[in-house]
Amino acid sequence: MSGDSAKTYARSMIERAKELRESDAFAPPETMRLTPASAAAAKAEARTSRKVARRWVVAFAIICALLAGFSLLLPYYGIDAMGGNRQVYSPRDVLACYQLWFQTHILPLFDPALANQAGLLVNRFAETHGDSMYTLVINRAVVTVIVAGCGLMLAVSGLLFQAAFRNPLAAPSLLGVSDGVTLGVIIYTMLGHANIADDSKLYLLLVYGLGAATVVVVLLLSRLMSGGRRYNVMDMLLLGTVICQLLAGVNSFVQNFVMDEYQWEGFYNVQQAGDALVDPLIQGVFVVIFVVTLIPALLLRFRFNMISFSNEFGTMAGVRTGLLRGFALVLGSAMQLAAMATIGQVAMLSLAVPVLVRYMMPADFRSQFLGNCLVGVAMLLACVAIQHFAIIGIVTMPVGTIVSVFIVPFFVWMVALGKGRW
Amino acid sequence: MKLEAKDLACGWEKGKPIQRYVSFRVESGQVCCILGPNGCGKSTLLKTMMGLIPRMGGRVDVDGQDVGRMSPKQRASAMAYVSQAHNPPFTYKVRDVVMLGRTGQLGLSQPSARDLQIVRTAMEDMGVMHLADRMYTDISGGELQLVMIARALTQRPQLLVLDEPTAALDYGNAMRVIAKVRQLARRGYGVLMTTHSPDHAFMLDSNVVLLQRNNPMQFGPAVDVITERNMRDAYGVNVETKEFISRDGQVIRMCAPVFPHEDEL
Repeated sequence: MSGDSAKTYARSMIERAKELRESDAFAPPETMRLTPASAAAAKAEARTSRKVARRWVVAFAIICALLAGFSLLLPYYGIDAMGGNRQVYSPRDVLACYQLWFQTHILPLFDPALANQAGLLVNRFAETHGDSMYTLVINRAVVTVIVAGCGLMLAVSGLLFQAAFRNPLAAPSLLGVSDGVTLGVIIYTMLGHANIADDSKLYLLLVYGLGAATVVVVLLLSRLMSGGRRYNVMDMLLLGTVICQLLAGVNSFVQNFVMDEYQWEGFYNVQQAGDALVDPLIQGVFVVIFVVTLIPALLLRFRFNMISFSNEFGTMAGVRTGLLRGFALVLGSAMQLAAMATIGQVAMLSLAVPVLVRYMMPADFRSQFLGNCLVGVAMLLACVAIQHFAIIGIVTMPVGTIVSVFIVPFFVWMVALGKGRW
Repeated sequence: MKLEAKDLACGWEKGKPIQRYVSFRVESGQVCCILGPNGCGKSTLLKTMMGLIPRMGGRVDVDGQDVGRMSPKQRASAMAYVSQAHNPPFTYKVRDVVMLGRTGQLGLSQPSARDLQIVRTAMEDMGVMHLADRMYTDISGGELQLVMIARALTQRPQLLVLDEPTAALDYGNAMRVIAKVRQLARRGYGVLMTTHSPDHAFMLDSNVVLLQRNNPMQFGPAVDVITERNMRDAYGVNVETKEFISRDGQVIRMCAPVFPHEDEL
């Protein structure tokens, strides 16, 4: 066969192939055929994954409930056993307080006539159990709920940051929240306050204001650095690190060379945020931020998977990835800020919990979100429960220290088991 | 569906287009391969076609609608993209990665049983269903490429845009990917892809956009564009194109390099 005739033959064959393809004989008209068999298989798959998720939720809910129960009942009993200097109440007395709270707050909702008897019941209880017990126990319960909320927010904020920066070492402190909060506390104590209760409005203003301002400065500067077009994750990371260093330098200078002994003691007190937990204003602000940040995170939990992938990957799947990533960072910063203003310096939790959960569950954000909520709550409740025993002299160890001491060995053990799976 | 570029100019630096006056089109059921030497702007052209980077001139239309004016959701249902490199951030399961293709269609809602069905069908179509519960960091490069194409299919697009889908794959994996691309085109998908191998264009019986650094682009059927002269101009390599009939009667065309005789070295 000569060269020309082979070419002609090849062309004719190619034309024939094209004709066949265009005819019905070759391909079905639609690109993807969804069959009833695949529908049934998909339904079975959905059922299985729901069952697995339910098991996780039940397991962790039991752990959280046990820890919460422990935290609610033990302190006023356990500290006595350890020889602490606090008022001691037995679990039976503590349960009586909860019963009274139920009678005076919940039952009147169903029978308004009972509302008139509430005052009488409280007075009678005070006569038999003393004046301060009821308030202390109920405050303790509120604190436990707030602590659980802080654990959840810290873990989810860490998850959002690690997903957005696509790095398991990323923590919300990278954008300067932590150093901004510390600067706020320093200014608050330099103004002569040694407790949050002295002026909780000013505390809130300084801590939230400076924490948020630091994040805004980092975001704006990183936008300027990328020529005002879009945010660049690396620019943001570098700027965040530099600004954190700058603030840490200023904070360290003020603490070491400007503060006197009394101011330093006040700074230590305020930074641990011990009395922030029982301040109604701080509790209120915390609850508002908890709801406002957690609802979008919950609704966007499937979409947030995209922030762990490149912009191109997300954009071509129909998602505005850059916008979503920015939103995740803002949510994460707000969560971290609220938790730190309420419970003090416990940033370690944000770093450790997402890594641990990633080892336990698949990286899909929906599983991770659920896992981080549950493990974050469990971890912080456990640390606070341990805190009740950790008394040196008359001083209780800060929860931040307990978190670090308790989590680091556990974290190292899990990382060793994980063999790089995070 | 028709994706069409008219007098398109593209590049990264303002005022310095890498390619200009690029005109070609891809329709449903067709494959179009973009060929050209390194640095001639193949990937840049691809990204400009998808509206990922702003064009420097000309037009890109999908069925007459300007790609630049399409919302991300509209674009995602018209075309899906599989990038050249993929750095897995965390240890996702293969099934979860494929599911991500549905994100654009879901809004705030969570994946339904129908979404699971679409994911399942896409994975079955690409022959990766058996990998569903494996970590996608643990699978081979060839399998990963098929998984990423399955993810693209879950968007239910009309057109697939593949940036060097066989890059860094061994011969067997590369041929498996090419076979799947052939299959997809036969099922009615339009495929626009970049490649370094002229043979892929022959295997896929495709149209070819041949980009060169200093010469105007050429567009047409592979048989017409991949010629010995064009390959020499584009790559500076002497080649011969050969045709033969396989045992089962298929016409096979190959592009083979011709090295200088030892006496000429």
